[in-house]
Amino acid sequence: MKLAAGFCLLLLIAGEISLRVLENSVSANAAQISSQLQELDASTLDTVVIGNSLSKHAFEGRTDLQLVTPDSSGLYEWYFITKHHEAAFRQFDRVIIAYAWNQLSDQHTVLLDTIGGHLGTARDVSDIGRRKHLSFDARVDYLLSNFSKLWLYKTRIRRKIETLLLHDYEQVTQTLNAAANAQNEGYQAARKRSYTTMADILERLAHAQITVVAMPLKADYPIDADLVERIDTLDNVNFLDLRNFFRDRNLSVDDFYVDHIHVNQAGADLLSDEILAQVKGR
Amino acid sequence: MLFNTFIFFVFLAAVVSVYHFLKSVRAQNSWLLLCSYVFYGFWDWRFLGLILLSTIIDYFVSHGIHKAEAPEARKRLVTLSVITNLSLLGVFKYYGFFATELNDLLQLIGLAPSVPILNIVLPVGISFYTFQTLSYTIDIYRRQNHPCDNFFDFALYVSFFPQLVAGPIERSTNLLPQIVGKRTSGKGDFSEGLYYIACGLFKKVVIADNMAVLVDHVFSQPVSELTAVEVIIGVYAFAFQIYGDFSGYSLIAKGVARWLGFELMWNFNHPYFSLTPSEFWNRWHISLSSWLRDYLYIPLGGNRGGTFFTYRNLMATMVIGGLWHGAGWPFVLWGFYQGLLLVVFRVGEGVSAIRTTCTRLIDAHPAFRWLAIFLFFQFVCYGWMLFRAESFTQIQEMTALLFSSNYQVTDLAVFGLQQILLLTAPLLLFEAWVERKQDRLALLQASAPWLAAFYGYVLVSLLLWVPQEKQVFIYFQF
Repeated sequence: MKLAAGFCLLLLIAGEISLRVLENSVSANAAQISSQLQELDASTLDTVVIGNSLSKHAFEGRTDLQLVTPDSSGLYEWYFITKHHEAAFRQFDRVIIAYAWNQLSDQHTVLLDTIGGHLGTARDVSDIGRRKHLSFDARVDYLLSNFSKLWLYKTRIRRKIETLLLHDYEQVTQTLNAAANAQNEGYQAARKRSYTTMADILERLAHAQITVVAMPLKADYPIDADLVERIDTLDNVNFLDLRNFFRDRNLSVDDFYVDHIHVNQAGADLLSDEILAQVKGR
Repeated sequence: MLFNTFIFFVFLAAVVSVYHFLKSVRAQNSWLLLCSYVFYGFWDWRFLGLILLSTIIDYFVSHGIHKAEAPEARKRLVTLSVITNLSLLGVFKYYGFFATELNDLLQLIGLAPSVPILNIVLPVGISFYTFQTLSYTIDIYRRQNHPCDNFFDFALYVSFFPQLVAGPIERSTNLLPQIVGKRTSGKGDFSEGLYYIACGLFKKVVIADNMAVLVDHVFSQPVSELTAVEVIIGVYAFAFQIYGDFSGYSLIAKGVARWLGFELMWNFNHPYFSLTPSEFWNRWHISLSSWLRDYLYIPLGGNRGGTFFTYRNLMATMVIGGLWHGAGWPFVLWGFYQGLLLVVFRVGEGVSAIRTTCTRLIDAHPAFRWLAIFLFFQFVCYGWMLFRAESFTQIQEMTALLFSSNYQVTDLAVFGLQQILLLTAPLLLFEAWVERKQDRLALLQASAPWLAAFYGYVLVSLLLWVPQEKQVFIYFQF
């Protein structure tokens, strides 16, 4: 039993050291977050996009926008980015927050590993603790990610192994995730949602004109009327419903996506032009 | 408070630390009772009243039965216990289902639906603790056990947190003497408990929760958009999901109890290595199948009344067993299917030519045995399709698809099969090794490098294969 315990401990230590040494080659996301945040702090542009890979695909390549779009990020990542880079955000006149599904509600499923590992500090635990919608497990996840690279990159390592071993991993998991999200939306639809963290973000960005964009996906998804009502009460915030952007223009959605959720270059050109026209036209 | 969450392990650390600090059994039992009520109240404290009600009724009824001399009085008292417990179960678990069905029936015959539909929340674990207390009272009535003298000891028997919400359904003859008597903790208790918990977490987190994504996808799609191979893969995935989920829970419960000095029964014994339905039910959810045998099948007459009555009793027991799992027709159909399998195999075993040929073939070469196991697994899996299906329509459509020629191998099917193999093959190989050794704790006697390799594999798997969303245990809804 002692040998087994020693072996397990050795495995953990070896994994931790290896990941600390090889961090940048393991995670492109870490490099992306770090470079985006550096660019954000030094930016002289007037418009910033907060989002995840949905908006990264839609706006990538545009030089008139500052992107803060870490992969797989959501409400809580955006909350901590705006918290720790508040001064940088003050210089932007326009903020675009691009989301899908119920990503803006407090009840959206949240993984705090990216925040723990890249965006927050150990001091933020008290802030995490104040957010009553986050479970005890989410808080432990945050702390472990802040403390251990092995914990932080566990999903990424798994993804690399499964990409090697499983047939068509990326494509099939995207299909499965999209179906799971759609199903989850169905379960969540009946529940009352709250938007306290979203309200905190909007308050922090109160100096700017904000546009909240419901992004188009291949499949439609519902929007919570409560969210729209709340946004309507704020003078500096505008809601842009583009869920059916391609369908409304009688375009075939299949021509504008690389998968179920991310637009291709043709889709990105049309979509980003539309969003910017609306944002700047206000 | 799920077994696969950090908060449970914080809770467990506190429980175990204080428990071993306390010296007397009385103090330890009081502590465990308090912790068990906190554990259950964590879901919904309002339902603590239900457990308490069950406990009070069965405590006093059992003493009444024991004291009563007249058979009529004893019968009245045991009937009171059975009716009360089943009424609680009926109201909380089955009222909504039967009210809806009755209203549909009324509408069908042209009458206005008049049975009120109430949105009653199902208390977690009610089916488990109801059956546990029922068996206690019935055992007292049958004079197979004595009533527990101390109310708080009995309350702990009803609410013992490791097995409270999803079993095993412990018999009073096994658990109560351990609660009342002095517990001795041996040197190997910690490693034994750790072994159970590690195996249980692996089955739940690595196998079941990862299979859930594939299963949910297949069963949420319109059947017209699936191929037969995808349905088969989805059903295989569900077979391992439900096995990993439930046997994982039972193992964690066993491990936690071991750390507290208790020995819970084995609830699973490698069920997918079964060759026949009766063997399957001797290996799957053993605490329920033995409960149904002792308190339903045998009282109905068992196999004492001739062939017809034996088959009738088997069917009735399995249909009720199906209904125990949930208030829905697919569960009833699943129970009926299990009964039918038992009957058909029994008929086959009764024909000596069939029995002899099968036995000879299976004994001729291990490959034939494995082939027979694989074939029987297909029957089990068809049952799981009935169990998991969302509706009768889905069952019909999936069954029709299985008999169609739409056996196109899609990317999803290949991915699913590879994922099932990647995650379950090591488990099945390990179980085959344990089965061969005929010692479920064989690994603990293995050499240190093997033990290190085992724990290393479990640790890495638990670290890497944690699904994004923690899934509730399937059997909590039963």
